[in-house]
Amino acid sequence: MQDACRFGAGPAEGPGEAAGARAASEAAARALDAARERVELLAEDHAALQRVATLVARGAPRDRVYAAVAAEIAERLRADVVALLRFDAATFATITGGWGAGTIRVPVGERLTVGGTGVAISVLRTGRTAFVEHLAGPPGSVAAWLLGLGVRSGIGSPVIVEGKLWGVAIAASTRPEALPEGSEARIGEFTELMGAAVASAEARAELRCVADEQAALHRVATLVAEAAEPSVVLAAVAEEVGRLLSVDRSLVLRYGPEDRLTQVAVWRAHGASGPVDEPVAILGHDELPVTQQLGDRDAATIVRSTGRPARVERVAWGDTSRVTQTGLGAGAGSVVGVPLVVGGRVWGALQVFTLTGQAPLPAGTEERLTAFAELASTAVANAQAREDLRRVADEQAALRRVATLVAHAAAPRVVFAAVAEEAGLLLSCESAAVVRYDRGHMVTVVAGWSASTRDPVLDLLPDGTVGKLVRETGHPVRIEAPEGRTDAPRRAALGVPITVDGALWGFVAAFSSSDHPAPTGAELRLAAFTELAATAIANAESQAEVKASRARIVAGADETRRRIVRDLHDGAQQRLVHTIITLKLARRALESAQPDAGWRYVGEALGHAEQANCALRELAHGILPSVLARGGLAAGVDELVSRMPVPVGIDVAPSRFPPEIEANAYFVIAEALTNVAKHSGAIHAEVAARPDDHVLRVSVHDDGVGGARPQGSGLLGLRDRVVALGGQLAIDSPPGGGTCVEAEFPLS
Amino acid sequence: MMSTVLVVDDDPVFRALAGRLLAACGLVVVGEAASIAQALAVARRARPAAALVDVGLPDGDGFSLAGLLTALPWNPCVVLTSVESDVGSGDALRRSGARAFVHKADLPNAPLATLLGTG
Repeated sequence: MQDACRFGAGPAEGPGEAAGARAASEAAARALDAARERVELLAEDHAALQRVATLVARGAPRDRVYAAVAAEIAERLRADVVALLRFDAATFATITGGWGAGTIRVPVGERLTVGGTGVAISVLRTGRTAFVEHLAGPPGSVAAWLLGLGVRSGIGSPVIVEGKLWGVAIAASTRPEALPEGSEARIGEFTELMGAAVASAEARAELRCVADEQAALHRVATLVAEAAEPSVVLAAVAEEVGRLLSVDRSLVLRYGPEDRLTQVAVWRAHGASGPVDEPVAILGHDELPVTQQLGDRDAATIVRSTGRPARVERVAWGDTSRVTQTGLGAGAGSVVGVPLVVGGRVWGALQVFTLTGQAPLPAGTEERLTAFAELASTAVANAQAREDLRRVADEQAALRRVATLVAHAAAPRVVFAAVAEEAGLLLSCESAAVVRYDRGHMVTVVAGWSASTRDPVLDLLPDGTVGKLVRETGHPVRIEAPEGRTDAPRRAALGVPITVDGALWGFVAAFSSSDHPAPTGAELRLAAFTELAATAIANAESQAEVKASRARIVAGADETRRRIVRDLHDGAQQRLVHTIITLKLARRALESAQPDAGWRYVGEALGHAEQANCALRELAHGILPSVLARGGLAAGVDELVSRMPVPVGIDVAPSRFPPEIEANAYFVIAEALTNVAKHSGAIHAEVAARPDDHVLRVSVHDDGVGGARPQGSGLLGLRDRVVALGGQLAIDSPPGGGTCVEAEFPLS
Repeated sequence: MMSTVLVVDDDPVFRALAGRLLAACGLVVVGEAASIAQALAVARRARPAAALVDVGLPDGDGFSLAGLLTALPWNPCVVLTSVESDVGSGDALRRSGARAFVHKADLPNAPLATLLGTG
């Protein structure tokens, strides 16, 4: 394939004959002809240059200027092939204009490599004019292309734009004879003019480009400002960059979990040449048309892992993912991708593609894409913020609905049903349930909700995993759908414990048939509902406790009345009746003149009356000691302690308190001291009652055997009374550790 | 013939008083009992012609004891008494088979000889 052509561009061979007059005359004539010829040549060159200059001055499109330059060079230098090549990044060159004689076609727009040996690489390396000498290069190179055309000689002249090597103008011949003498200088004039044309054309093109880009950015920014849906904004971004950068395809991708990605928007140029557009496909998230794993060498993979723009040249489409392959065919192309960063994370990528044989995407593509990517990211972030706001508002509304139920003391089953429904709707799951732990390993579904007609209880049946895990850990649990199981439906679950007064009561479960049970943070969101459920349960329990306490207080009051009546009948009343009977007997005796018997009866009657009085006094004391009303708690305690069989230390404030507090503090101390005397076996006890920060604190300690039962009827009755007054009663009685009864009464 | 009487009351002081009252009326106290069970046992042994029965007894009320006593083969008559005045309706008294109810404080004035006597 090695071939070389020698092109004589040096001085023309002289005749080398002896000089005669005729010869001299002929020579002079020839010289005159040559000079005339040269003048004509120069004049024609000048006219050609003038034509090109006029085109440039009129601001003709670059392509036309290049075509004209190529045609003029070909004609003036009698070349068979003229190609104007622009050096691209690295060692690429793109044919920007050309002319070919006969069947020779110069593929304008095609990109070639600059390699091997030959005229293009010489110009690229030296920046100076070079001649076609040894043409050798791999397929796709400039040298190979020229060889393929049968080029035997030629010249390459550098095109300098604004002081920099922009490209090369190659004029070549397939014929044996060389290009005319002086071609080197003459082509230089054209390339110099071309440099100026390129500079001005590029400046104009660049200006137009900047204007187009600003207009495109403005259109997208307007959409973003109007809070358009992200799908609309992303489709617009794909279309705008596609048109602006004249690429073959543009895409917006979204990264999903597990190396998956979704094509969110796509734009395609119609055919390889000019961007004849087709409508942009707006792909909803639900459709997930292309979701698959990314390859290692994919620009999208690199963008995601680095969070920076990425460029992949000479992509072999067949080897890469379906996303990039679709519609682009097999072969080599160029991809540039930039990240869409939302909330500090790489949310997706904006990518543009070129087909095989196209120039690589120009340097600066990354920067231009980034401007659009930033707008796209803003649109997504704004939409997410709106969505977050809506979600928070929905959640607050749902919580408020449930909280209102709780505040109105709705029955727990009503609250549970509301919790299940609101949780199910909020997490967009298939079903939700509120479950209570019962004895053993039993559970009861106390409320269920389902998005369909499916019974939510069915979701709990397959195995009790959710409930089991929540019970074991006491924490929220998340169960992913079983992978690769065909016998069971893909089902994921979330369970959050309900804790009432520090004890695990049950859990709220949410079920979903998707791969992931609920979004991150769903546990926390659900926890707000479980807290409300717990409050409802606690309220119901304390309500039940209050009811029971009231019932006990009422029953206790009735029992006290019965006891007082019984004591009255059996005691004082009985004695008074005896007194009456005995006095009547006395009267009868005295009337019957039996004074001895009469006086004896009077004495007996007096005894009965005294006993009746005594019984009444004791009864009254048992109801409420008058010493308490008279002398307050301190006096009452003194009186109680005076009857104790063991020494009791007293530390009771002498001040007076509201009567109901004095009475109940007294009952607490009396009951506790009774227990000390009866059950404790204590050898010492202490009674204290002191006001402390709007609370009267009462306590009775002993050093006895302990083990008192707080649920014993005496202590339970006391607790009811204390709680009814808004206070608290605590009993600490470890076996062998003495007993301490403490009560607090609010002093408001 | 002198009428014999059984006094049933859980209060010994009252039983003593009642004994003196009954004696003053010419009645003979042939037995005392503090409960229904004791009353039935003493009645079977002493076969009193009448009984003065307190309404409030530790093992039941005097009405039911009245029913049991009046059903004995010799049909003793029963007078109920109590320190309470609101012990029950006349119906309950009639159903019990008792002849009368006398408040304890009124016993000294009551015609005990008539109420508890056989005549």
